[in-house]
Amino acid sequence: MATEIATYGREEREIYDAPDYDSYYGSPRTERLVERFETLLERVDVCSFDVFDTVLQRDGRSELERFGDVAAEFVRRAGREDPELRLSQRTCLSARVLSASTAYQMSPPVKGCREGRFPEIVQNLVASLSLPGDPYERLWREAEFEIEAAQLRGAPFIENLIDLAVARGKTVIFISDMYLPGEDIARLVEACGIGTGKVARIFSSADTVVSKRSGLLYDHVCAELEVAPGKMLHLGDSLEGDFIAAKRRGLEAIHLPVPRALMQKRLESHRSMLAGLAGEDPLPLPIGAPVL
Amino acid sequence: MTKPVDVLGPILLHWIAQLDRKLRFLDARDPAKVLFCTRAGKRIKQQLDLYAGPDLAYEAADFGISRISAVKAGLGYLKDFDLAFRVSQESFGGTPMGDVCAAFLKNFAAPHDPRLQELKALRGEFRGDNFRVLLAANDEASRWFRDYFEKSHDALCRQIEALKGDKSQLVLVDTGWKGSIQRMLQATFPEERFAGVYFGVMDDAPMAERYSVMFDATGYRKGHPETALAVHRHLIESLYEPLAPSVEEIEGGPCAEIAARQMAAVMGEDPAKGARSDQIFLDVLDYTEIHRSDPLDRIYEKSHAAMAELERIILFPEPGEVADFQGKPRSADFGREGFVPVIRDLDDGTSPEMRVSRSLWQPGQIALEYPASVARDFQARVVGLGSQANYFSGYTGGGAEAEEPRGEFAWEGSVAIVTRTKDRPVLLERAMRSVADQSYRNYHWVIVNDGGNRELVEEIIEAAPIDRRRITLVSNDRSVGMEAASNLGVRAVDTEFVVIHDDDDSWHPDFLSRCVGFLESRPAQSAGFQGVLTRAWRVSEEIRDGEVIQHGQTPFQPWVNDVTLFQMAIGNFFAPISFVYRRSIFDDIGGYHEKLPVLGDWRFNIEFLARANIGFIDEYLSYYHHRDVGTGASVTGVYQNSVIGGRSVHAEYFPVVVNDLIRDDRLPASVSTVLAQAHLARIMEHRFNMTDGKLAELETRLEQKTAALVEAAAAEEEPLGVLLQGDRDHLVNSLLAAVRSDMPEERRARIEPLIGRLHQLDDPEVRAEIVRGACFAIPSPADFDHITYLKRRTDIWATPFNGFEDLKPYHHYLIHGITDGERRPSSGS
Ligand SMILES: [Mg+2]
Repeated sequence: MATEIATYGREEREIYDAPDYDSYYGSPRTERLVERFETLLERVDVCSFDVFDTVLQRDGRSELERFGDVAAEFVRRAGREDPELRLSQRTCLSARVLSASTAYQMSPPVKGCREGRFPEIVQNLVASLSLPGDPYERLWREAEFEIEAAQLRGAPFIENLIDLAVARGKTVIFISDMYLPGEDIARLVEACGIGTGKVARIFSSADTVVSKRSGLLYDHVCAELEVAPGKMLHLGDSLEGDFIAAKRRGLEAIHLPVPRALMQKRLESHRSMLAGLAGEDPLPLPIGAPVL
Repeated sequence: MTKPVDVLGPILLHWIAQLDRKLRFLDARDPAKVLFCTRAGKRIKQQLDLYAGPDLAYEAADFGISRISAVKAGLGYLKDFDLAFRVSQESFGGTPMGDVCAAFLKNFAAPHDPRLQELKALRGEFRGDNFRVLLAANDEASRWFRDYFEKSHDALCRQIEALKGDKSQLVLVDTGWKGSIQRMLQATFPEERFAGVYFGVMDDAPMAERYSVMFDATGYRKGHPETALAVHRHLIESLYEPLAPSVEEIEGGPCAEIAARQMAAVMGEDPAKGARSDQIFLDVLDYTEIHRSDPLDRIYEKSHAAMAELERIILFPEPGEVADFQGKPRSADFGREGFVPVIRDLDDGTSPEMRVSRSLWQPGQIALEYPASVARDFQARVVGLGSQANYFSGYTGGGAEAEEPRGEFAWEGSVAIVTRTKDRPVLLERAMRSVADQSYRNYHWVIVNDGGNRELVEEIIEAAPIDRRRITLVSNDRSVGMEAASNLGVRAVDTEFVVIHDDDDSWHPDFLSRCVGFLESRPAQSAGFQGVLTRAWRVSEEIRDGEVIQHGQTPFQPWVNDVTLFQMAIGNFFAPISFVYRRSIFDDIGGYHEKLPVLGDWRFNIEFLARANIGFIDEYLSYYHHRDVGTGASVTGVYQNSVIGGRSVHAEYFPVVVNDLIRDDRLPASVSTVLAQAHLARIMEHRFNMTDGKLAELETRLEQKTAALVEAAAAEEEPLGVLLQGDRDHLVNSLLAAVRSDMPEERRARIEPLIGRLHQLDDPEVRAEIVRGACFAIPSPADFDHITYLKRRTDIWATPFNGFEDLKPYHHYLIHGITDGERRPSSGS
């Protein structure tokens, strides 16, 4: 009598336990991952990638800190526009977070999904700062785009996988659950040095409202591309949105988690931002902390 | 002491600033007309104007509306009868119909109008069916009543159209709670688009385009200070309520003049003439004006700090704070007059308990009724905080600082789910879905392939929408048996909890979350619960052509309400699928007894209960599946349940388990005593079962007899679908009598040709022709209960059969009812 014990998810665990992206993706351990990718790739016609924290990697800064950087950059640019303006970074950051929360609350749900749209968020936040839309909406959008682009980095390992898929004659697409419309995502990808020429389509939940997390975005994509779910492979960092929801919809999927240590850094960044924002009293902005 | 405005000023400034932002957002998305609904809208607008300046970024108007006027419009043409009735009923409760009519008509009818008197004379209950019949009836008073609602509807329709202008949506602003005005307007005027932005929402029923600014909760939730307002929403209502009655009539409607006067009273009210809470409102206005240019982060921060203080005041007020924060007496609306006090007068002659239960702000009433030491506990209980000691010792507020969240792979709270399987991919696939659908994620799924085809198992794992890091496969090349397989699975991983999920069973998605939540709760820990059981459905199914076909489900062992060692000693009464337990007890027992081919889980459960308690969750969260339908492989092959497939083996091993346990010196001696008593209980049970069996047999025989009698009786009853003898006689006699009587020649000419066809009354077409042609000559027989008939046939309310001209419900019965298979409604029978 023989008993064998097989544990699954070894690659996932290795990425998760790595101190950062590079120490996993730069190591020979990726061989097993590439092997699995190739095996699955053979079965499909379309290969799809998540964008944020997959194709484009974020660093240890939390979303709140990034918005803080955007707010600071906006204050600088607005000051150049009108030296009389008295804006604080804290006020602008609060406006960004509160408007995003309003946009989320008040966007009409599509099949039960909601997504705030970036242009609406910016319009509302500029109005709540009592500034005219022109030129301040543009200034904010530019500031946010530049900060985003500066804090993102193209992932060379994923780029290799993309090239591999293209070389095998597969259609490559990106799918993102994000408040930015597809064209903005494309500009960010380009700005990070990844050519979008090899990418057939970029789908964003900001355009479709339905999300990956709900699974409905996968249905939408399969219908648009006229491909059976089983003929599509998706890779991404979100367990729920990129892996579980994709599998439920019948896709092949690979989960590429964010290293836990990096998430820990983001959580610390989130907390120290909140602590730094407290004035006489705490300023508990309605923005979720990174989840470990 | 804190002045009310120190707390309310920052909170209400934040609300108004947020309101402005949210209205801008809605307007930017779709051009909107913002309607400030009377009465609260008047003061909200007043404050908003101070905050945002008179030139709002969106188009706004005052809107004279109230729940009762929205109801009136909804009743017109029965556009929105159901909701309008429900809202009326909430306010009128057990009021008799006549008084409800009078309340609706109070501004319209002259007191001595005979039609009003007629309606007022209706002393029956105000119920939906009665009310609908009244609105559809054709007597003069009913028509007059109906007309009032129709005119109200038309007027509101015109008003809304005018308000909307070229905008694409109407956004209502009010203090909120349920948003029933929005709901009614949307249902009454479905072609318009309504949205609503409210201070707070307190309603479980979902509603599109209803937005809360400050809170959305039906009761207080710890850690969410703003939800304290759900305990005392009257505070907000009171601040924004003008010193004028509600606008019950509709602009340009049947009482246009009164509507205008009511609107003018609201718009022209002067808070300065009011009492304490109106003064607080004026203070809030001052605060708003002074701080209107504060940056939004500052407004937000101060509001948040003030909210923590308000939470404390609402939930645990001190006696001295009650007067400032109780608000003014609530004015009755909905066609009634008078005021309801928020805090009951301490010498009203009733008991403190009674006063607390009637108070609109219970913690406030409690503060005045009881000494501080008692009050605090009582206050905690009425707001749902329970009476745990930590709430006595000092309420610290906030509570938002939750404990550090656990990592997603933390050992604490982790559960090993062990699934034993062997060549049953159809079932394993379902078990996989059951695991994947769990809302609780910190588990590790261990599949034990006990000598079956490994590839089939691997395929299912590959397709699973489950985090791969949470899956382990234990594969035996030969079967080791159920209990040994369990032990292999449990020991393959290290978790805090364990549950055996066999490949044929399944769970409700919240099974794990409820069970782990229970085991980790403080009460469960102090009671020594190391395991927990939930209720289960017993599902009956078969497998045909590789597919599972379910045949129904019944509660499994519904008599179980707790888990005792004594009951367990009598026999096992739950399935592993319903039982989550702590691994440490498994370790202590040494796992499942591998030598037992059956009854291993029974023995394990007895040993478990000899060491620790098992709690009980009174919810059906698990499914115990049985393939007990069908034939062939489904019942006897690989798909058989061990319980059904191996009954005789059970009997064989029963004494083995009992004797082994009695000899087991690791168990306390008392276990033997319990087993001995259980033996007696089983004997008794056996005898009872025999007696029950006999009784059941007798009962069946008795039932058969009764059934025969009932059948015989039914045969004698009136048949359906045919003209009854009584009605035939009535028709013939009525027509013959008519021919003999004096009647206009033209009518006689219509009847005479029909007389010769009276023998053909059984033919539905001929009958219809006769009844239609001679309806004026056929009265409703006294024993025909037309009210009951109308209730049953709501489809004829607005048709000529409801009493227009000569047609009556009785004629409908003769022409259509009989052929539709209606039973003849007879009164006095
Ligand atoms: Mg991502």
